[in-house]
Amino acid sequence: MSHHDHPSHVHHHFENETQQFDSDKMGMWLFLVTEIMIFAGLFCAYVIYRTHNPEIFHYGHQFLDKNMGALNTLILLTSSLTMAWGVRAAQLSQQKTLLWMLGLTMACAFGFLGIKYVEYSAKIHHGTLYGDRYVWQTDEHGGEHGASGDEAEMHSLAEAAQDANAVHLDAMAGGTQLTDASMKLPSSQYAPAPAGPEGFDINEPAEAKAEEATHKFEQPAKAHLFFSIYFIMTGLHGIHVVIGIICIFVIFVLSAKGAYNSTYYTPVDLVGLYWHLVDLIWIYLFPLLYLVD
Amino acid sequence: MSNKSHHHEPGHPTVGHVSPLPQLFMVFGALVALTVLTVGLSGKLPGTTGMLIAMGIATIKALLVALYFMHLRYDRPFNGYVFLAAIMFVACFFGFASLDTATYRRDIAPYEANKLMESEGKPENMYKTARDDWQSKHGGEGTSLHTSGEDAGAPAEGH
Repeated sequence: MSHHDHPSHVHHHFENETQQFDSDKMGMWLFLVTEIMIFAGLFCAYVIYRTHNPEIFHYGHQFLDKNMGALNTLILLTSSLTMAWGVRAAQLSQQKTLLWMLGLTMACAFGFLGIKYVEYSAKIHHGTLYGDRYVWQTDEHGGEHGASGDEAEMHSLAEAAQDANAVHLDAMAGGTQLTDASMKLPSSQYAPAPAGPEGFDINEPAEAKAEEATHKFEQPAKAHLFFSIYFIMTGLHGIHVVIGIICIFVIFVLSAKGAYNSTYYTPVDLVGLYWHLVDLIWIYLFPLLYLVD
Repeated sequence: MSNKSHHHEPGHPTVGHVSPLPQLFMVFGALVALTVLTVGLSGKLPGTTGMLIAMGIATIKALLVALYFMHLRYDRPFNGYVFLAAIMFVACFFGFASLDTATYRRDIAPYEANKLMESEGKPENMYKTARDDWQSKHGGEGTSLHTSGEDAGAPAEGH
């Protein structure tokens, strides 16, 4: 072991900087694999629920705006480019370029979250939420959304069922309000639905369109499942975006202090890997949630 | 490709691979083009085909990101093996879960319809109707999950 050519940024337990760099990177890849496993569980839930209830996904995805999703995809891809460019700048000791690229990456990340905020707000407003927070109404009783949704739900339920068993029925449906349409059991709502009803242009999936469409579309029982999956998957992804922003910000501050150059840039590289993985997961989330047909 | 440049040029790293800018831009261009393609194709192809093509496009995009933005192509091969091993385990996970889902799928829809009917106080032949309906769409014979066990009789045989 030669100690005289041991640079200051190489820890004493490493032979040389190559060994240190390779170890750091391998550790990061092992961590990324655990991230892949976390999301794999959610993707698997998606596959199973979709196999059992394809109609729920065809129904639910109309509430997502394909254009917003595509725009967010482009924003994340751009941020991946700037991040990769930032790593290159760090490798070449291009301090100014590095700061610009990290800044642009953060700007893109905030842009992504901004669009997600708009999308989430629309869903909160319309009551297309996860689990029993799902209060989307398709009939006349459903003029009201939000807080009074439960009341309207109970009202229409009692009317439709006309006996005490209806409460049990409600429990069976997992809290979804039952409209007249969904009372028509069982073939239409339990058998996988056809790709989409005639006369409805599936290419215009915005929330406003969905409101109109639900008169033609029969709301499947358990429609809230789609939104549970949507919010958990995009929510966990969103948390990763936030963590990414924090990491990039730390790197940004340290870069401004001149911490990274061609002899030592490992943290920039590792944060870059993390950021690319966030992008990679979105690459799959986008078609699975927004482009169901 | 070698991932270590042993010639120590000033301003050049001693470890890692530096991506040329044109390459980064080309990869980005391809990613954008593929995104436009997948959005353009959505809704134009029948169900399963469309989904398979969308997943194929997503996988090409993921590979581009992993190989070039994440430097896997120029990295130590071990990192690539780690990544591939993860994908393999995910495939096993999905494969076995789907196998289970496919095995019991035909029983679940009729079962749920039956329970709902029961709770409504109309336990006639809805179970059978739902099962026949499902089978006429998908073919095959549903295994009779309910001919034995606690739910037996009530739905299929009437009252």
